[in-house]
Amino acid sequence: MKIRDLAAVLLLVMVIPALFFVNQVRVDNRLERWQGSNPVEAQVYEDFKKTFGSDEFVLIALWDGPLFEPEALDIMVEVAETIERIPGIIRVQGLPVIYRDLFGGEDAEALKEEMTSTPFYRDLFISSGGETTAIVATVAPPNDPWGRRMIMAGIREAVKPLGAAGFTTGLVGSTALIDTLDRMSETESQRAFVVALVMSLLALALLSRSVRVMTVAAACAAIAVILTIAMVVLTGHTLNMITSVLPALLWVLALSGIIHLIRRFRHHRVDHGADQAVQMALSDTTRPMTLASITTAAGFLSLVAAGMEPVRELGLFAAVGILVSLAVNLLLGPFLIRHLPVPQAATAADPEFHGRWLHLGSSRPRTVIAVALLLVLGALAGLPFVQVASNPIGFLPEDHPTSVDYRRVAQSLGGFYTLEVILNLPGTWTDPAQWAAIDTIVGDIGTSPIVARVISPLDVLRKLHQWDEAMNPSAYRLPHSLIAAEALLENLDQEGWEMLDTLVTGDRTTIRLSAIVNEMDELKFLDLVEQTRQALGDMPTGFSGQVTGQVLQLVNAQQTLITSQLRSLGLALLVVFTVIAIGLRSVRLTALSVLPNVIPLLAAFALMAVAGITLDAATIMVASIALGIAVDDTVHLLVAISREEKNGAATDRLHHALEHVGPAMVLTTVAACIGFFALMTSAFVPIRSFGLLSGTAMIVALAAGLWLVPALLVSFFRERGIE
Amino acid sequence: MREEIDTGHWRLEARPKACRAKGSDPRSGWRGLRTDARPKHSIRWFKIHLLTLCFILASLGASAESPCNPESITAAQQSYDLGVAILVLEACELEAPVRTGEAHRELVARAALLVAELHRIDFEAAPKSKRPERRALGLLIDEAADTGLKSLKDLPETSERLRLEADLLATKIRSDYRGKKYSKKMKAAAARALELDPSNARAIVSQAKPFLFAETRHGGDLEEAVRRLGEALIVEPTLESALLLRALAYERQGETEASRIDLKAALAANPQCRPAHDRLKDR
Repeated sequence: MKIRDLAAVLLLVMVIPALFFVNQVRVDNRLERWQGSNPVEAQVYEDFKKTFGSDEFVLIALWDGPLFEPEALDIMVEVAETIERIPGIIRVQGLPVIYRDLFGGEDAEALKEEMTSTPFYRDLFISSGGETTAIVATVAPPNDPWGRRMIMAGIREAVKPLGAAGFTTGLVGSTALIDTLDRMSETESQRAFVVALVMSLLALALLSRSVRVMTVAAACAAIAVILTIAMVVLTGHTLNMITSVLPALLWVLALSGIIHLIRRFRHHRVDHGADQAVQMALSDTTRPMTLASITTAAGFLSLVAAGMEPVRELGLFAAVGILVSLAVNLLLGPFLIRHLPVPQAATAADPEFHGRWLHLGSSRPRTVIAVALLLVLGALAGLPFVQVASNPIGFLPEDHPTSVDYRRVAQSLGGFYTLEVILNLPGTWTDPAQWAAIDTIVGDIGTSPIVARVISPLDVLRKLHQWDEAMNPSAYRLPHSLIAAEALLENLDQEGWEMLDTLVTGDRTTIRLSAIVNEMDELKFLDLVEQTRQALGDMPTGFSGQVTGQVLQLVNAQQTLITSQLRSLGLALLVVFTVIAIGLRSVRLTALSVLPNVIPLLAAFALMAVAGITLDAATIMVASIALGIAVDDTVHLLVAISREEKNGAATDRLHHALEHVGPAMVLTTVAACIGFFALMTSAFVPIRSFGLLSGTAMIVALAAGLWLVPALLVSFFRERGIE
Repeated sequence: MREEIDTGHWRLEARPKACRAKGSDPRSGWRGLRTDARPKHSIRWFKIHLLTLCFILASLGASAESPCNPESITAAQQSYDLGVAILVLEACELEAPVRTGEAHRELVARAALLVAELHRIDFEAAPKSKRPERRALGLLIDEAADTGLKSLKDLPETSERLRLEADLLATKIRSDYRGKKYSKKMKAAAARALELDPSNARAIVSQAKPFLFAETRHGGDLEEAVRRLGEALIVEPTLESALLLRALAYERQGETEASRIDLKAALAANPQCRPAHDRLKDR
């Protein structure tokens, strides 16, 4: 006992430095962390960036203001110049920059003519109707979690004068989106965690009718969370959109363990002294708690095989956290129970849990199994309707300013991100012999309904030709020969060459085509990728190409994630049931535990199909969580059954075990469910979905544990006896 | 929408073309000058301009005559006095309905070129960040240049007329866009002026300007500019504009001593040469 107390005190002492580290926790949602691990495509993208520079940008859309009024243009120029000074911004392009550099800040009417008379700027810097413009800031963020946030903070500050000048501004582009998701996931996960924590504690206090019980459970769960988050910081990691659910998740799982211990203590305390009751409670729960923790940890650890770093981190730290929580519950839990002290139960058995409903599984096994099978069939039928897609904009509420900006930009301007095509030519790009093929593929890609336009170096050549002809819009066409094209290029200034370098390689035989896309739907984007690859395959001999880009990297990562996650889940199921088999030392009980543990998973998927929740990086985690939670209930019940005396009728032993662990299962589920459902108050959709799916999975897991396990035991093991 | 600028002498107002005619002073004929405008330094500066004008007129012994004559223009040019140049241009424009001869039209163009060039000096001196001010000055330059070009229209081709046209166009070239729009025409006029009279030193200066001011990619060539300005100075050794521009070319080449010599020569040619004063003072 003394060693256990010493360890408990040590844990308490560790909380003090841990709190310091918890305070240092940072959120890092850098795009690079979300990219997949396909080495070939990653290399193509790296080569692309080395050759042509960054394809990441922030698009500042301007609506409702007088675009071509000189005073408005002056303000735009000042804004553009402020943005140019922000570290991490490598280039600013758009109406004000053209006004400043090409027109010297004069001739607004001529600027309007220049911007609208040819397709060169259309859907890029100005809308087809000429009423919306965009300032495009190319971004090369520093390799630092705060890089993009600082850039976006600078841009937000810089565009303020535009609002005062009567413009409505919108910020889109991957940098803007990831910054919004970053800030929102951080604030919402913090807010939602507090709500979940308070709600689950209130539920616990009400159900246990004891503030001390609540205090012990809350203390153990909180210390487990604090120590785990401190480990995240100490190991040099940060939180992200996915791992930000870690505190809420660990809280629920840690509560689950300690509640079982407290319930057993209160039960034994009726007839025994405090120390003895603690010993007996530990004796009853150490094995199931350890087994449950190991199986859950194993389930989470399977996520380490995922391709995406944030998911791997969640798997690792959730597994570590669960083991930490086990240590806290087994070491600190008994210490707090004795020293607070936790009161005994009103009677040795809880009369409210002796109702017929508790024994529904054993009294109506066939009905329960039939309902369970119906549920399984229904869920399996719904599985094909689960959409494996992701639209990051969908993470935000419909009325969120960023969502509104994205919709408005899609309607008025070209788009908000690009699909990049690297095109290798058989000769130099200024040779007219290459132009027909280039224009053909540009046209092919441009036929996609989600492509606003395709930027090609030939557009630059057309523009130069127009400028050379006294800026006559009718001269916006390709020159007649290679020599004429080369002569036009000689007119480019340094900035012009820098811009051309983002479209053409130094040897002039490889060019970049950028398709501006106005759709965030992953599947439509992948259709475009396929269409582009097909068009590249149909090109004449000597031409070849590759498709790449930051967004493609992310989409690929997402797709890889789903498949790798499903593999991980399969692996987790295998590992979990192997651990159960070893822990229970019974193949039959292990076989029996499969269905009750799979049903919560299927229920979560069925709910996704019904509610239209897509399977993505955030929701895919629910499968592992549902498995971990379901296993906890099953393990506690099966261990309780196996611990029952060998004498007596099988049904009596089953009832006895249910009466011992059933109340704890219900209490755990209710407290956790309230916590999870409280997450649904979050404005951040992934957290909301996570709360809904996890809470539902918990309810189904409880039902499966309380009714399906006994029903299966009664139906299939009665004759041979329960081990 | 009004934009006021401070030229250091007069408070001038630039307005969009649509409303400028309405706000124009029907008496002055110079549409950039508000009738209700007051000198920034009140009456003092006005008196100075009047005194200068009287001095010019008195020195000509023709105080009763109109200020629209070559001597007034030359005097205003030498004094770099924008106010006087504007008054001369106004006078020339007022007389235009009655004096329709080629000589008077060329005189109007000369006065207009002087006004445009003096505004251009202020334009170049204004910081690039002061866009409204530069834009207002740009409008004034264009207005003067257009007045000059309109006056020259349909006149018979002479070397001096074409030189004036080239220089008027040159004042309008203030951006890449304007370079693309006007430079071919400007170069053609300067070339034709020299074809007609290869010894027209001012035309040689006009032809040297693109080499001096254009960027290298657009044909800018400081050595060529120096060579051509040297040719102009052979023809007319005290030509102030050639000396000033060559000083600038030398400065850009990093030859400060040669630049200083030319600035001093410009000052010797015209003791009131403000740009030479300013540059030497800066050093």
